[in-house]
Amino acid sequence: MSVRALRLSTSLPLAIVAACVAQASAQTAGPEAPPAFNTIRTPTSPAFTLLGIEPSSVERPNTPSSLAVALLGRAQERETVPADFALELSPYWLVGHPRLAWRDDETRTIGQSLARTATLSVATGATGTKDVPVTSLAVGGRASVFSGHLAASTTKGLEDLEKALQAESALGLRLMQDQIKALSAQLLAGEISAEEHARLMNALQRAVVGSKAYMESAERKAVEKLMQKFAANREGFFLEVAGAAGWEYPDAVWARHRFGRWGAWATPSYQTPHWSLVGVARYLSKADDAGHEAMDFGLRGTYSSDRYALSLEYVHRGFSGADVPGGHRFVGIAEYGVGDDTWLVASFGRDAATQREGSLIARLGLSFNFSKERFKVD
Amino acid sequence: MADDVFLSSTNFYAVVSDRDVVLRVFTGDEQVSGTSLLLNGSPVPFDSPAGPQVIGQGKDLVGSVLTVNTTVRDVNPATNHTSVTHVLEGGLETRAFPHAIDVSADKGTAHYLVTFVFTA
Repeated sequence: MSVRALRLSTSLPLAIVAACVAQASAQTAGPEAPPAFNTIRTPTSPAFTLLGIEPSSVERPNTPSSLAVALLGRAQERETVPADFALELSPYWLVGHPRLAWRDDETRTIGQSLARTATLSVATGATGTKDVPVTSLAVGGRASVFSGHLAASTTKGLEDLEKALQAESALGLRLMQDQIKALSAQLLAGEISAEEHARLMNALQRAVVGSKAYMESAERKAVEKLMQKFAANREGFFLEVAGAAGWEYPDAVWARHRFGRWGAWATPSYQTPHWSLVGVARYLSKADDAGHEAMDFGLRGTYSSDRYALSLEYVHRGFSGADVPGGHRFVGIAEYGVGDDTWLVASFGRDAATQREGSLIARLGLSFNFSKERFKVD
Repeated sequence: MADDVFLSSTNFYAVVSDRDVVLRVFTGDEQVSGTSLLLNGSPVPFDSPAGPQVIGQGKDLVGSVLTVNTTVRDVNPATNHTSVTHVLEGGLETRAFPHAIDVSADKGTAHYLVTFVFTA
């Protein structure tokens, strides 16, 4: 369970600019240009973000043995840094927690929040050029110091699921009732052993659950319907923090390592069913090719409903070097749902240096939300 | 059905004649579940998601078979582990019967069909 976060339109896979209502040339990508608000939020996988990669394949072991397999599989490459390796894991969830009920997670202490949300990420990737090949390795961690409380709608959704699952389990017993009686009689009479009884009960349940009478029952469909609309949301105060460090290996040789750069992120936020206030802060020890340190911070306020969303966001970028000026952006965004998965998006504001072409942001467009998640829940 | 996984076990529990036998069900890993019961093939109530539920007095239960069907749904995006611990109290000793199984995909279903034979 991790922190819930409103992300305005970030998961939209496609956006078509339909009209420009004012000067809206392409943004000038100077080093002082503040990054997009969502790019400086606490990343899910800091190691991947630090390297600037999106691995196509990520190993996500969920047991100690699968972690061992993932690591041992790469241990044979002793001289060189493995290329394109990506691993992400949550130490707390590597093992089972048989006495941790969902009701125990309605609120969390700081220690519980850190433990249950902590993730580690490791990645390697090619970051050099054809002439100067370099493989980089990054290690990162992420956790929520505070992670709010379970939303009332989520608690109700879980209680509804409990009732529906009880009805489903009762249906299963009704459909198996006669066979269960017969198997119980055989067990009590000593005709079958406990192990044989368990095996036959398992086979019986597989057959019954796979039957049309079960799968197309009102009880099973009720559970499926609840599961379709269920989302584990949390509300209240959140503080996500993350850090990552990267090393560079010319020609991918372990022995030729040198420190690359490091970064740190913090995202405090307060979430209610309709309102959210999100702050972001990010430090990068090398933000550009010249090696400047950069500190970005921002603030976004959002009001959202099922049909529309309004937000204001401010992002500032500052550099340690006196030769590179900082910059900031202030943008208002309005979105209105014109269909189930289609949204009209309007944005207006200023970007970076006001004297530069493209500093005025004024756009009107359509966005299509194929994922059906208007606001992403992490 | 493709995502459903199944676990069955058969156990014995020694009762004490003048004490009530009580069942509790703990569903772990922050998953959600529902439980129903059959005693000697007939439905008996299980009123709350975790119990406690009085099954009967020890002297009336000797030689009886309690079938517990717990259906778990994976609602925890952090893990596909599911675990259910059935605890029986009121007999010679309080005993926990822990079981665990992983669902094969997010939001999958795990069926725990656990049988208890009550002995003297």
